[in-house]
Amino acid sequence: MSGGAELFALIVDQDTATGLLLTGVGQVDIRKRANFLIVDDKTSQQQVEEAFKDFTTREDIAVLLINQVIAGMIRHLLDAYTKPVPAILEIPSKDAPYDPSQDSVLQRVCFMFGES
Amino acid sequence: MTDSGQQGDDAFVATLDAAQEYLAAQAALAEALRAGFLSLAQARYSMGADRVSALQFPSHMRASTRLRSDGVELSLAVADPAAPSTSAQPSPASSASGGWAKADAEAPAAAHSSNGSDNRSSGGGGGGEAGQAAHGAAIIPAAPVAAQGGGAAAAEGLDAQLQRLRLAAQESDGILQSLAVKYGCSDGGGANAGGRPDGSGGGGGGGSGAGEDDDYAEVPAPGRPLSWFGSLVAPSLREAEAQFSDALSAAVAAANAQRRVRAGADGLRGSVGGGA
Repeated sequence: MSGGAELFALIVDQDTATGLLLTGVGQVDIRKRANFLIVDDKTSQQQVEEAFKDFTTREDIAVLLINQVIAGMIRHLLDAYTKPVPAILEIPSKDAPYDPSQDSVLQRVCFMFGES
Repeated sequence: MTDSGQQGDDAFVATLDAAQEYLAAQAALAEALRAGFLSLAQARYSMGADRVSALQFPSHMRASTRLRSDGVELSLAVADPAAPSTSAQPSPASSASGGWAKADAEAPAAAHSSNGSDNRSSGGGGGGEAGQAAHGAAIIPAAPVAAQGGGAAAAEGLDAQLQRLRLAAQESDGILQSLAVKYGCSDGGGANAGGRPDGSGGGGGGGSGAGEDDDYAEVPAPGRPLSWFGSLVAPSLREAEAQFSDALSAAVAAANAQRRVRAGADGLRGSVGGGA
């Protein structure tokens, strides 16, 4: 799509994926390159890490939505992530509500306030 | 107070404000997601768990909801899911205000020039052209081939395409009449199946298919992700779609607030580092 329009990326569970894909954010091209990863019990941490690295290096992705529970699996990658684009947004899942104390962005800000 | 101190204070206040906005956006996002999950569960209960699951996702899909950046903030850009990728120009929607603007329909058709061969085979091209004529409607399901999920519609006749056009253009009788005239189809539906793609003949009658319109009132426009889950979906699934759309708007607002948090934190780090 022209005009600089960028995509969402999703690393979420099935319920969240079903709901968000209903809004039309999903993209799977002819080469089977998708902008989402559905994480279930059989998804390994390595797969999640690879998806995170892939989505954060693609130029056509502006925002990455990730369930906070799944973000906990790759917290070390999120804490080390400093690029402004794509923005990493931790969202709640059906089973786990949003916990601000675990959000990497807010943690970094709190740490910085501690420094200053 | 030195300049660096003043800058540090400004960055501190800006970061706090941005963090507050971020938390508020996260709260709105969580609320919208919670409502969406509930509606999704209701839809699964009424339609069946397998019908509302990842099993229904097509192998190929094209994003109709994207993000547009003006360098400072992100905004949602919604395109007609049936529009071809080459010509679709999504119009930006308001982001933080929660607008779910639909782009004006543009050439929906030939959808996917990648599926052009199917479109051209049996009157599909006519449907594509018809779709182009239906410019301006909110969602135009004019593309004979569903945007996602396969080319089953390619084999349908012009009458079926006209019926789908009627769904989207129920309030645009003039468009339907012009299409019926152009392709020589009966506007009443089904009487004349021999429409010519080149638009010969005129047999466009008045719209007498009000009853048929009601029968198809619940059919989602082809190309919308809602169509993955069947032609007749539960109202709760439609509600879930709307609620997740609200969640998406809140997510965009949260992403914008996060940008400001990062920018404020970077400014604060710079002022602290400069003053040290």
